[in-house]
Amino acid sequence: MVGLLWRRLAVAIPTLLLVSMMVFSLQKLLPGDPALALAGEERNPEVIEYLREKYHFNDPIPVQYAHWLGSLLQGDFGTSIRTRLPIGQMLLEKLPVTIELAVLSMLVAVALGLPIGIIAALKRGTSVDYGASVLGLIGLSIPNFWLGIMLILLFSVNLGWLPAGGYVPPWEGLWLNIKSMIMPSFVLGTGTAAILMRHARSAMLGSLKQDYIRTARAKGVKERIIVLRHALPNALIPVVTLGTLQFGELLAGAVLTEQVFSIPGFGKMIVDGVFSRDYAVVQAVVLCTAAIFLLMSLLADLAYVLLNPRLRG
Amino acid sequence: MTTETAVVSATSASQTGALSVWRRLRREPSAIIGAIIIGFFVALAIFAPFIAPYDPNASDWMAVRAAPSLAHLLGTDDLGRDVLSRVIYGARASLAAGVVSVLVALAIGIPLGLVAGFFGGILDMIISRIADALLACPFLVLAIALAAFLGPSLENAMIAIGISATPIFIRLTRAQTLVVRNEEYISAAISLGIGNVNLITQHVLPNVLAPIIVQATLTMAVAVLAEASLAFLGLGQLPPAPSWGSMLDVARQFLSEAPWMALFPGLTIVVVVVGFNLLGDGLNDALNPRSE
Repeated sequence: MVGLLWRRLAVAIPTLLLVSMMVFSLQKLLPGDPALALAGEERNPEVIEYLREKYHFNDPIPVQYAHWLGSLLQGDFGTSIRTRLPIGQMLLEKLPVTIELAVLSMLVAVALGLPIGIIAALKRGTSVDYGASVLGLIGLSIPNFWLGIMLILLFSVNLGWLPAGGYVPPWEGLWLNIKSMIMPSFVLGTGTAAILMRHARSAMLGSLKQDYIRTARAKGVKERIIVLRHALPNALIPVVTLGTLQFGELLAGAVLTEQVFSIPGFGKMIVDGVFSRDYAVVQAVVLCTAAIFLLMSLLADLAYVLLNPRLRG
Repeated sequence: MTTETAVVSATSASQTGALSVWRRLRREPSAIIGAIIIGFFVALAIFAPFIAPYDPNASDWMAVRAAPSLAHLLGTDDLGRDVLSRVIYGARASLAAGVVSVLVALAIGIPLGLVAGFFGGILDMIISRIADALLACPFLVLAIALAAFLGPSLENAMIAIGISATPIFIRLTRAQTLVVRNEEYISAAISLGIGNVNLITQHVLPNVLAPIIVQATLTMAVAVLAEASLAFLGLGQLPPAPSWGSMLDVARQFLSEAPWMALFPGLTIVVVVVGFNLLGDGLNDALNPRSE
């Protein structure tokens, strides 16, 4: 297990380094003087010269990258030109909000996707199975920002049951926090629910075809026990791995959901950064999202080995 | 089997395969429904000037945010523009984004995947690590970042979506090439002295295309969603040109007064994406019957 961890880290760290090179080179896509672009609306020559010095724009590109990476490794992501706050501090403030949204969305996805997928596999070829397939297709095809708008229209504008947007931290009011997160987590969770549902169905179908299931049936074991004790645990192994990977995707999907519901998280931070041409913020969010995604991939690999008895040894 | 007959039979097998795929495809209801949906929207996009009842940018100040009626079947927006006409013209931006961004991804991904899979070694290692790095950045975040740095426009959105989708095609092409390059007809072609370029383009590429076509169709669904998302964030098609995503962005501000402004563009996106997904699933079943 430790060997696997080191092997995966040996791949993940160079990958993250490559991601950092890509994120750094995004600056080079900006037309014209990058110092002017980073300055935003600011046109004071002293400020522009300060930025040019600070980001080493007068140096060769590899030197610029080395300085940039060195700062990142010391936790210095730069300063936001919009809020004038250190970006590292902003990341630490916004990340818990997005993680809360992603965790709640994953709960919604698991609660919807797993049972529907398993039932669809058990009722293969029936109207229940076809209905589940249609639900899965729609879940994959609905833009989550539109679903969010429609839910706001129904539950906030017409019925007045839930707030149309905003965020209340749990320590300021748990019920208000839950109320503010019901719609966003449902919106963000539906796409993942559809993916989990499809995989749970196919994993369960694969599991039900195995020899040990046939043997259990031949021995006269009850169908309920066959499903719950033998087929399901084996079918869940790939689904848990996929769910771990999907958690990283949820962090990315939060961008639009947070925008629609005005939730001050990671996703809204990148969008605000884009609108205010705060490019250092955009770079920091991309890099952090990639780091979290790689971490989730690592955990997915470890979970796969931990859950699979044949690989554990 | 001689080397010549191995190569010739591989080519004729691929022609027979195409025929049998076409036959299987015609028996796939999901593929047919998907193709009809996509065909309908392609026709809308091409013949928009003849089908749309109004100029999509013409304002009727006497009918601002008018509810659906016989004069305006899907109502009007905040500037009195006909929503139906804008939905019809919006098909151009969405379908163009879906097709062009996938073409960008294919144009970069297939050659890199072929080279990595066929030659292996250091080239494979470099290309695979680049693909891994791109895959580590979640699709939409990377597309938003690229579109932000390139500047907001439909063309840049297509490039951003295309680059973000590239690593999927690098990985898929590489994996398929690794399988194909060990086939007997490739060894036969090598022993005939066929050059690497001819070998890759004439013998490897045609035999790795099937899963790539399926993936390309499914990626078009993702690209249409991504274009709508970027336009919703103000990073895609710029106003006043119609785009479903930007129509939804504006509609958000008038939800209680004019809900139809949000309802119809969103429903249209869902139908188009369902169409691409159905077509992709049907193609997958026709090209890879074992996947069922």
